[in-house]
Amino acid sequence: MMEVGHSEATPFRARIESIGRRLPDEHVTTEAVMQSTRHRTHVDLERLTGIHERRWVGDGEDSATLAVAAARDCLDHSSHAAEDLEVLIVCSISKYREGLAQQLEPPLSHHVRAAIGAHHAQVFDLANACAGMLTGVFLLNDRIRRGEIRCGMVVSGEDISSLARNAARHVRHVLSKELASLTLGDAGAATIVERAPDAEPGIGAAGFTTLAEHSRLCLAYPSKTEPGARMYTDSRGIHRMAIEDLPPLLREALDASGFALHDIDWVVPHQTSARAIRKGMSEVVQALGDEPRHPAVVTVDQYGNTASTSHFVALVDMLEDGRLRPGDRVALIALASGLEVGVVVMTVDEHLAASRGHDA
Amino acid sequence: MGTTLEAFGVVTGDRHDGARELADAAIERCLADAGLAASEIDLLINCGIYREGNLGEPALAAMIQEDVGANLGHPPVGGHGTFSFDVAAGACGPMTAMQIVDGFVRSGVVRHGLVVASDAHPGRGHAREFPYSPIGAATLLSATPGAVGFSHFTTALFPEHAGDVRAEVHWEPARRRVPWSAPGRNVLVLDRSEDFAAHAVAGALAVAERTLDQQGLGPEDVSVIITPDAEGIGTSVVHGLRRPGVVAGDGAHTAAVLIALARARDEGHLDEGRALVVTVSAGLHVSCALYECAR
Repeated sequence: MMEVGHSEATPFRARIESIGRRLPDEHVTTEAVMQSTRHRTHVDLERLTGIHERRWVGDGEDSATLAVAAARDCLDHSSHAAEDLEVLIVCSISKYREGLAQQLEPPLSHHVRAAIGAHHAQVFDLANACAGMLTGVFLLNDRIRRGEIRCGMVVSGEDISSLARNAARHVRHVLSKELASLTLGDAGAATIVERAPDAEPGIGAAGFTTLAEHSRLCLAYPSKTEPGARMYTDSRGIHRMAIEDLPPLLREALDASGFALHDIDWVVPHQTSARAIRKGMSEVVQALGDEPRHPAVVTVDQYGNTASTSHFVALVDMLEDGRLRPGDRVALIALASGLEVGVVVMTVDEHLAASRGHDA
Repeated sequence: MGTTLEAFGVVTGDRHDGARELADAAIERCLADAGLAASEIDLLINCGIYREGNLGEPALAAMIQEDVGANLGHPPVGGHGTFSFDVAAGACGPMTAMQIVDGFVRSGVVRHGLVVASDAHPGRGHAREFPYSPIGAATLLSATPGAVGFSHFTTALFPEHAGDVRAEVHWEPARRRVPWSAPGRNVLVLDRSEDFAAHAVAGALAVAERTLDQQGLGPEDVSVIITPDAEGIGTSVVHGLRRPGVVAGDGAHTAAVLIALARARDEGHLDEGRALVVTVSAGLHVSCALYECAR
């Protein structure tokens, strides 16, 4: 499914107006994670993934607190008030509230709505693994393009360090299906999507598809033996499929949006492993015979894999250090369990570039 | 251009059936009803909540897509693909999903969207108790020329009743420690207040009347009310609006509104007139929509 350009039915454009995040205070190094494993794994996870550290929640923090704090941070950097939000979508995979209680009903979005005072917002939860937030942006983009709404928010709070703690009890070697769990970090992220002013390019194209033949390459369940959850990942399988299938899908998305890869300033992929991102990007460059203006964005080294929040955690870094300038074109690439593949191509405007205190 | 309900599939299972299997079977029945191949589905949204082992990842929709064989194989470049994800909004989930499909149909991005909902006991040891019938239901929504199909989706929350219905998976330590056994279990726990039904009826009537009022309509402009039957809520809503009703659901949870819509279709209520669809869920969450029937 691809949304691009204007039509009689879709006369408007959407843009990312604000981005917020909440990172827990506790830094946990990869060295510390590997020292916590029950078995001697002989795995140099930092060399394998490029992840130096990640943040883990402390007492009193969970998916709900991360989501609410990120939503408030997003509003603090927005021209909108919570009452302006017409739709609020919560996309967390983890839905922990009050500790490790996974809340199924009412959906977590009801709690976030009440906590931030988004009293006029239609709310629902959406689950699409690590592609959740970008899927939420895709849905808001559609409603804004048609003129049905002017403003909505996508939020996620990922409290997934329990998976890493549980994996540390079970991982024995480099081929363990739970090795990827040791790369996880906690974070909350939020973004406001609104109707773009006439002159602003905003979101130029957004497209998603599900390569469901590979739907079972990464599975997560509540643990049978301890609080929290466990995740079983065929990392090599996912990486192989990404390298095979991503280039033609990316080429199609870029063709549809009228861009070439060299028109893209920043490619922000889902943050799983620095090594996998760099290798995957070099495969894309080779397959397309073209390259973006800058190397692929990597923040996984500092934050680990923060699941559905990862693109927006990275974008906040880029806004705060002034890397994102007005006119920069950004391709956000989703690659998630399912396998879900998606791309959102957006242009940074002055409003967004200046939204986190950096001069545009 | 409108989005119309083209086909349905409803499958009742037994206590051994999982939610995914029920969803698969409901979709296969729905596609047979439509005479459509799975590869024609552009968008597949699953709204079920309770599934095997309380699976958290991936979206169950992706596994269902694989099971029913919708556009498998290498990427559908230049051709046709299916995009799948889950929506969680309790018993209002199918309404949210149908609204999403309707939006993409109006944008011209989707021709055929499939909404599926199923809930089943998550498996031995995974739930204290499970009150819902194991049922899967699916509907195919398609783009149709003219002012037909869904319109005016309306939702409202009544957070003062947020505690009426709660469901969570949490850790319960074992009362007695048996050697070599787990020290506890992660278990699904559902709580439902006796006050929920009364709150739900009042909320549903208020939102239904608001939905009609905003369009300058009254109950007399609606030919049929279609609503699930949980706890007598649907019957009270139909009585309150004083219009003919199709009240069904067969004890299902998220699938209930799709079952009611399927029954309305089977009884000829979707052949002409204007339907009002009403659902209520935890939160307290009410969803309504109008449906202009195709002649």
